Amino acid sequence: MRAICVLLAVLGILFIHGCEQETLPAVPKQMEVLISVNVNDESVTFFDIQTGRKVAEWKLRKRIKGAVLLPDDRTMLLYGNEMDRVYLYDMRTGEEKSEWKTGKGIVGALVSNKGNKVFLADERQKALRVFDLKGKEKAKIEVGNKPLTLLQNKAGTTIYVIDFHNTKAYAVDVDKRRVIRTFSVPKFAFGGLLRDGRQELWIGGHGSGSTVETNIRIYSIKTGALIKLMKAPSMPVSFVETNEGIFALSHGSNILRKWDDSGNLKASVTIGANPFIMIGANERLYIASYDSNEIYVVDQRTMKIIARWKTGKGPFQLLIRKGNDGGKENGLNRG
Amino acid sequence: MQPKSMTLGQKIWLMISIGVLLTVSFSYFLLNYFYQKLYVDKVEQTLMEEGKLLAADYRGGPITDAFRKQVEWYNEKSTAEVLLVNNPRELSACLPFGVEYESLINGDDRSKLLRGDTVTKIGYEKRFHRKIMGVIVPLLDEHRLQGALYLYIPLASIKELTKDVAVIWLPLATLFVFVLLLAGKRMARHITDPLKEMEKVAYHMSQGDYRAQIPVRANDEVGRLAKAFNVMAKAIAEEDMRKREFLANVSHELRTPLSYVKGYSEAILQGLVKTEEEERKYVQLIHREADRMERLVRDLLDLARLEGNNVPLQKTPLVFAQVIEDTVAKYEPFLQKKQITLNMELDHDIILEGDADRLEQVVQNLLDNAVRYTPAEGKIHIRLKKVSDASCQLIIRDSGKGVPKEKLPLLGQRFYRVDQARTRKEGGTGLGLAIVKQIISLHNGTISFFSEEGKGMEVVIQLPIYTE
Repeated sequence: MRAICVLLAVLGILFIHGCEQETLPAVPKQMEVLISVNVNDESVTFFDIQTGRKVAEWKLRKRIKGAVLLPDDRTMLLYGNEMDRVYLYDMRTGEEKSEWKTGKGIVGALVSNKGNKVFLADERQKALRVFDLKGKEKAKIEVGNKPLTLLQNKAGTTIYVIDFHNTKAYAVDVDKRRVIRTFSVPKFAFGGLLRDGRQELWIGGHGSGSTVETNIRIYSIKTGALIKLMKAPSMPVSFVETNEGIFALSHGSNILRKWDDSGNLKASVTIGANPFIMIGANERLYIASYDSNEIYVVDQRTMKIIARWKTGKGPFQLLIRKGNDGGKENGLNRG
Repeated sequence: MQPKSMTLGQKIWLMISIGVLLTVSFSYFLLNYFYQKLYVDKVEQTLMEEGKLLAADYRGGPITDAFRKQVEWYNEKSTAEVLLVNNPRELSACLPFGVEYESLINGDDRSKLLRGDTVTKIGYEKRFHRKIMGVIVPLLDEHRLQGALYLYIPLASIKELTKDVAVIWLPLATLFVFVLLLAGKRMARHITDPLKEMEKVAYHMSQGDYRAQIPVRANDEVGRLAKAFNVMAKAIAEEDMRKREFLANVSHELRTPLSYVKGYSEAILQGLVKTEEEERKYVQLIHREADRMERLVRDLLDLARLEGNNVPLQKTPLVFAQVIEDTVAKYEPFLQKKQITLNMELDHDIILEGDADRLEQVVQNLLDNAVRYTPAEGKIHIRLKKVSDASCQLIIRDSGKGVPKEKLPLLGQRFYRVDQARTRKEGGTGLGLAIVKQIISLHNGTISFFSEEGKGMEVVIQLPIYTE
């Protein structure tokens, strides 16, 4: 009888243990960290941004497509359109903190610049969903059926949602919780840059059918009118603006271009293999080369490649977590 | 109802038919398989080589117009369709975004190409709306898939070629099958016909007709069986004839003394005998004939026993010369009576393993004949000699009138007599030599007769010598 009790106890412990979330490697808190979300092997790689040393790697075995960092700079929210929830991990401990049961279809996420909201783009509900930091849904604003790109102004009052399918971009007033303006964009428009100061919205894309997108389209955010086409063949999809200038990455031709403030092309270099995403910080650009599973580190001024870091398979999104000693500038959090 | 069983001919034909059909259908599938495999493999190899040669001209960096023109030129000259694909959309560069575009090169192909591998496609290709056999060769600049060379030929042309083969092959195969089936039927008949004839002949034989012979057409197993069958039929016929003759002979031989006995005894009973002397003569005659009958019955019984091997021989090692001398001693009075000179040359070292009584019977029967047919003052010569380590010969030669050459082979047959009339008088049964022959055969020996008419007769018996 006693033996059976012991056995049951052991089995119970094993069962509980089996149900427990496995703990992932912790990410050191003091340093500034570049985070690469890799979709092909469902992993997340963490680099010391100064040395390029890999400080941690998370093998998640979840169909993740992207991530955002919450304002506490220690919680990472991971999403994917085929997962029925989003996962929140504490980077300092490597533990899963909580899950928000959102249902399937989350294709983008953005943390409000005000620091009190998380916006999740949902392709199933065809909506921009607004959550507080505890995971409580506060509002839902109807947009197009594939809201892949999310941009916000510095003040955090307006969100721009660029739809991938139905040739529309939506300007959403966060406080009023409604779309205040829409404007036409090409099909498969993707990636953008909001220039508050100049009242411009730059939008990239892939092109439709067998036609390859070769231009960046510049819209007025006031009127929604197309102001200008800027040549950037082919398939410009990622943008960064810093003091050095405006950078655009074309994944079709593997070309990184740089313009000055007035829109004059300053330089263009070939970088990576099918790169989808870049992020700027510390006078550098970090570019994820999807086909070669690398991060290219490029000097913003000289446009020279400084380093190449090996990631997991299929780096699809980059994030920067500031260290305790405080970072300088942050690039763009792609939605 | 029991199903009607098939004849051997039908079975053989069925087997041949199944064999032919199986062979032909197997060869068809094999032909098709190899044709397709070899041809398609060859096409793939050619496309691959062409693609790799073309790709060798790509030096890295973006695809140049010059290279594109070169490929276009090649496309015009080549029998295969050659496409240079450098549109990132066609290369599935936007795949992670789910752009809902049916790219020429899908995600799996792209990852293979990125590894530097070539991709082979066989089957329906949506983009070309047809079945193709194609090869994709990557144009890689480090990890960058700058483009790919897509070489293909429509599979229809390959299918058409197999159709051509079928057009030639099908009628030929049909003809082949037809001819083979006909030949098979003939062959089956060829095999079974002699068997049918044998069956018929066997029936005839069972009815007592031994004359029929099976024609021997070939020297194969069936032919040899037919030959053996004929030999058997002949042997049976001969045996049958001998049996009849034997019966006729036996009844004849028995009837003659019986009629004597009956006639003389009747004469005595009816009082036809006048004097006592005459009566005594008649009784003597009856006694003589009874003797004869007794001898005849004894010999017949002897022969039957020897032939049936009912009484096994009592074989012991013995000195043959001694047996001969003992037998000859019994004949001294007869020899003296006829004034016959007897010469003996006997090798006393010869030892046989045999039945002494039977061997004595042999010598006695032979000597009987020799004395009987040798005239007064004639000569008889007996010789026993070694011919080798393993065998010896007994030769008995007389100086009688001999036997005609053509009758020599008949000696030793039951009731055969060279001179019918005389022997009856002399009282032989006609079974003596037959018994000798049988005894010698049971001793694993042989007997042969040599004679020239008028100059005497020589009997040679060869027997194995006893070895320890």
